[in-house]
Amino acid sequence: MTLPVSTVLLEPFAEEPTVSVLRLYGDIGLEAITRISALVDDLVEKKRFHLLVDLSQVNFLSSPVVGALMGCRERLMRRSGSIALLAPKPELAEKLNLMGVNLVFPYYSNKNAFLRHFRWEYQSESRSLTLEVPAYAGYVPAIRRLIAGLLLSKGYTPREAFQLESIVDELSNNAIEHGLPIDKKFSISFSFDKSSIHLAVANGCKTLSSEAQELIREKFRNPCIIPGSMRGRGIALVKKIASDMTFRVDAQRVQVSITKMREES
Amino acid sequence: MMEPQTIRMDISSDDVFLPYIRQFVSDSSLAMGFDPRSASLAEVETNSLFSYAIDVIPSGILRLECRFEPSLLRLSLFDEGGNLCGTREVVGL
Amino acid sequence: MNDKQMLLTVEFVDGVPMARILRFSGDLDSTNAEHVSEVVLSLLREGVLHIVADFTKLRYVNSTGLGALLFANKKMKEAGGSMKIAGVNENVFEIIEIIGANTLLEIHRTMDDAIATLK
Repeated sequence: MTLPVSTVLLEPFAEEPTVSVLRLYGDIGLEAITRISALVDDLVEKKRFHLLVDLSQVNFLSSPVVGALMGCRERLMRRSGSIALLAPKPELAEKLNLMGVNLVFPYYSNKNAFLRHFRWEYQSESRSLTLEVPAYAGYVPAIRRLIAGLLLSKGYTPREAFQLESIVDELSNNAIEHGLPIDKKFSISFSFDKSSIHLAVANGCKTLSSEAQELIREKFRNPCIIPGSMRGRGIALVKKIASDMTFRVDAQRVQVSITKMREES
Repeated sequence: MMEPQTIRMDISSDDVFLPYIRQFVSDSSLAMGFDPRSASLAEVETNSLFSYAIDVIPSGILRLECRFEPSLLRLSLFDEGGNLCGTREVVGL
Repeated sequence: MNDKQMLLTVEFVDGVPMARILRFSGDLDSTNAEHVSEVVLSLLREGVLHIVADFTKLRYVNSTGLGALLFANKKMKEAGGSMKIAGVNENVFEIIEIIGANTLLEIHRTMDDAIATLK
């Protein structure tokens, strides 16, 4: 189908029903503003507040149209909605960047990248990491930096990432040093979304007597910090940083789990 | 060098994670006694393995196995169904 | 050593022969805490009595690393000397505080402040 030089179409987004797609084709100038504004008004009327503007087939976008999109953005965001730009051609992207558009609108190179961000941001989609690692202390720095990095990449603050780094470090070292992992491995399960983090560190161990199990449970229940002592601070530190800490000690397995709620969204 | 060791990682497919995944492989390689150049190569190969996979598997879980053998790192990437997406090898010095 | 490991260098302090500056860079954790203790003991054997630990470029510390610092602090005091720490970043200071080590360690805001107490 050959489309007219300047075309504006509104379509549902098949992969995400809550998002509408504004497809623009060709050279988009002044004459498109009325249509774009009317379409967005209609969306707002129908309580559809998320818009993806497909620029992949656009050669030229005039500044008044950019201004109109800014207005649309304001209207949608006032209702906790969103607007994003999809796949502008490199030449167009360069011109838009000169106008500062990239400072206001997020760009996505393809719809999968957009969907990943959208579902994370607006549908509380979570991310997860599971690691099965040889019980070797040399790996711990790599593990904690990885987890801190994942958090930073999804908008957690450096302080929040640092705190999780501390927790991962202490629990991993605890599993390696005190867990005597029988199969020389330990595991980490980590999941997070925009508002909370969950982490569990587990290791197998030689069969623990009931008394030994209870001693370990007591250490987790009441970790104590003796001022001036060189050791024994790790679990106490974890307990203070985490929002909640639980543990499970069985005859052949020890698992410590924490939850950390974000202090501000 | 130690006896062969394997790290298994299951991670959500998300392109923003890629820099940290490859850094992890580099850091782990150094911890296993690889020299910085080999660790850097391991990072490049991890990037190569994942970049393609993240594009074609936009959501779900990807599994990376890092098997450290004497002076060799074998990287294997699988999708959620256990299908092999790719392998790479890096010689460590 | 890669650039993510901790670097520790020792320098003289102008006009204070029995003091040394220990400059930390990177992460202080279970993989390198023992090295810190060894360096401090070695300095004590040389007759060094005062240490000024520069944490300006120290990004991260864990409980084992803090244990090494407390050990160093204890050893310097037992020898009749002192250990001072300066340039601690917010995140590291929070960990020191949570553990309660801030009441045991002499912490200064800047290296100039710390060194001034030696003269």
